[in-house]
Amino acid sequence: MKRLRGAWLPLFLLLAVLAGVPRPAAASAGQSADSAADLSLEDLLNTEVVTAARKPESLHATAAAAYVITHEDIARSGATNIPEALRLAPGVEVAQIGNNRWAVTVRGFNGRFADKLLVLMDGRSIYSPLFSGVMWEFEDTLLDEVERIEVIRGPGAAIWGANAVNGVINIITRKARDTQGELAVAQAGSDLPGQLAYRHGGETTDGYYRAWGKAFAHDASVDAAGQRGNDYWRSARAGFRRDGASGAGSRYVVSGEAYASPTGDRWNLADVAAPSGHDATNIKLVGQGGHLLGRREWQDEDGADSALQSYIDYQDIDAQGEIRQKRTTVDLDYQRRLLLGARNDFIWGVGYRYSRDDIVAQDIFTFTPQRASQTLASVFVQDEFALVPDQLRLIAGARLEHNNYTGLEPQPNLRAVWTPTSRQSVWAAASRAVHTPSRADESAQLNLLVIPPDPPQSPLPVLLRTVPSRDGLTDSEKVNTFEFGYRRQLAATLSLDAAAFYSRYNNIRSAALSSRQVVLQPVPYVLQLINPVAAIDAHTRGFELTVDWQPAPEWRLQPSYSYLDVSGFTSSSDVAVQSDALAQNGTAPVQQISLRTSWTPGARQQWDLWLRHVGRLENADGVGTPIAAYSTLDARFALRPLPALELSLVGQNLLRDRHVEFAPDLLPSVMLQVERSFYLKARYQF
Amino acid sequence: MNHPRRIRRLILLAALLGPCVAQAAGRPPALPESEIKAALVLNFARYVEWPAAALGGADAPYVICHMGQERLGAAFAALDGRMLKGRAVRVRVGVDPADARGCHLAFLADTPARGLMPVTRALATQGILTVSDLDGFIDAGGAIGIVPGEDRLQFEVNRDTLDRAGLTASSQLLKLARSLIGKGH
Repeated sequence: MKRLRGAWLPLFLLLAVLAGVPRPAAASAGQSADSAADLSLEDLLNTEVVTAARKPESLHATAAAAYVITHEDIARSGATNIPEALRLAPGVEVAQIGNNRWAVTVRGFNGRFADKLLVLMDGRSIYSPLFSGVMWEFEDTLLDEVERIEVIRGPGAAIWGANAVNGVINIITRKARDTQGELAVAQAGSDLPGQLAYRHGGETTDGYYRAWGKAFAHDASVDAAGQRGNDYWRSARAGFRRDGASGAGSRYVVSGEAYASPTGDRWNLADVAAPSGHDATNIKLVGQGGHLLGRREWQDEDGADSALQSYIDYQDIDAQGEIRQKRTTVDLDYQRRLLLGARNDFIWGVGYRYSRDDIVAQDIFTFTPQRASQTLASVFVQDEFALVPDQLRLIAGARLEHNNYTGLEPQPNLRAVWTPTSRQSVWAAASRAVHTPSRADESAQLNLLVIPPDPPQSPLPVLLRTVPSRDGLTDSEKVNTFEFGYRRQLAATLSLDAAAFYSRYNNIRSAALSSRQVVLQPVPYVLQLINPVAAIDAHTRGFELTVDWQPAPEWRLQPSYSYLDVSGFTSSSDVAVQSDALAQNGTAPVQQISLRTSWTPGARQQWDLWLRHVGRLENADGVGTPIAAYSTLDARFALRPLPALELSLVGQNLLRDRHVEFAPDLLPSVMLQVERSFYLKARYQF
Repeated sequence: MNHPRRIRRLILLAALLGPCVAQAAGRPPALPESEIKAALVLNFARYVEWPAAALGGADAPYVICHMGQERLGAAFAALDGRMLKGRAVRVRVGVDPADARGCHLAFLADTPARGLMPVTRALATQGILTVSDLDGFIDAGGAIGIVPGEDRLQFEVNRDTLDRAGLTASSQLLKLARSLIGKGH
């Protein structure tokens, strides 16, 4: 195995930190115990605590491969947006394509519009039905708003719905009562000329509220040749949240956000008249929109807990001169949880979502029809049965969904968790999930690229155009997954969490060569049509391991490792489909390693180092572009000179000047590099 | 190119100096979090009124029950024998939530296998004051939740749970709480 390039540096740093760690002060146990309990309540509330951090609910009895990224994790990692924060979870592949674009997935099949991951923000789906993916650049909420991010690897379809094929990411924002007072944040650095944010929180007659605003400007990065790209990123965003109580035991939340975000990109637009087959064109992609969400939770006489949630979401994405999508989504959801007898924990729900779009397309895009709507109706049930109370629980659940593309889709799952002691647990799961076609799958025509002429075999340029085929996509993608996991608390300061899985995919979308004709205008060329067909099967297997170790009260180490093997195969005789099937093997890094070390010498200082290694991609974009393996180091130093003021200095991607993490897929963006960067952040809270 | 080397040297320097800076900026050692939490729980008991029937005779002790894994068990055990409002404090560590009879206050150090809500509800019905430092405790039906501030601990109170348990919190306690939920605020 090749040694990690530049491994000496992080190792040296670790040693340096180790050498400098002071001996833990000999605790005069009895004396300090007395002193704490002798203090008045006011004094106790004013005593400095070194590691004041939320204790998340234990995952000990969770029958799934779950990981919770806490608010503190995000703050200490130096992450500036949600995709960067997602790297904290094991098994999540996050590749930065450009300053304003990411490819995020779990357990394989990554892409800018990776379509196997369902992402929710406070229960609102931010997964766009246009291309079946998440446009992370327009989901850039105030990071300080985030309470935690729950990452569940493996199908979460039974509870969360279709398209949670490989996992679910649930981003949960902080309660209004936790964000009281004033907060001002200013940030500037090498890549980030400026970011300013302000938040105000206060009380209402029946609860709490907050309102915030944020604006930033991000510079462009460089392309493979070292030239400055066009991926600038600007954003202005504002939001609010109000929490209240309405009568005995019932609570409500109302929240909303609005944003306007111009971003840049450079596309190699397919052009038969150009000698190279494409025109590199600067594109301005403007995203605007907002949402309003309301949720009410209450308890019934018989102890059942109910929740009713509704939201409306509007999004206008305009790639000027190419494509503009305006979309309005309305969703209504109801859930009820009740305990049946001493052994059953039963939860059921119904939901309805309606999404309507208006797409104006030109040049390389055509959408037919221009206007369409998608409806999704669903019902789910899940029962948790205590087979042996406090030791063995069985969970059976299923979700039945109806969508207007593929009809009725059942998604069942079966899980079991055994907790022989309070320090160990073993779980297993079998589930089935479905991925439904996107609007683009059904309606989009796209001029992908031009293969320049290659005489004498191919005297004319060949334009590859993908066209929708109604016959090809009546079937949704299906996956059956078997998982197994083990959690163990080895000591009060050492715990581990391991999960292994095997997944079998059917009907993965591929592209088959269709008709071919010669066109004479504007210049003679061959038009080769490509039809999407659901013709590829695949299986993936792998495991993820994460360890949490606290060798000393002020020092915490979190190593994690993930392994993934993807193989695709097909029974089709089409050459394009066959090579696509083989190409699946190289689309995911085989290994990802992460090591975080956090050192907190006092209540006023924080030191964090985060070393990551991502394995090689043989074939990042499905057409053969390899991406070399890379290691990267992020470092953060934070100081609190005043109780209300925190200053932090963060360096990202420190090991190399620049490196490439992914090759753009689907949209013809120019490949860009991720650069070494620094930023300074001041956070004033009063 | 000099830049990568210079940057590497800077980082090395920062990492090496770090510990020295820490020592120089040395603050007096803050109290261990576990002891502050145990002390907070003692104070909560001080500012909450139980109905006379729950307390028993004039010499009957206040019983504080620590539930869950050993986390914080030692800090709570250290409270045993202290005096509170003229009565002794008795601490039971590692109590099962299903076996809470006789407890006045329950501290949940762990998420019960069934989830927090059924347990907090059952304990409230028995008139027991539920306290914890678990995230979202009062939303899950707990009475008092210890929550982290920037660099110190705070607490929040669910007044509906106190009502359900038949307990009264003094106005002084409610004033010191960072937030209150329930009872139309």
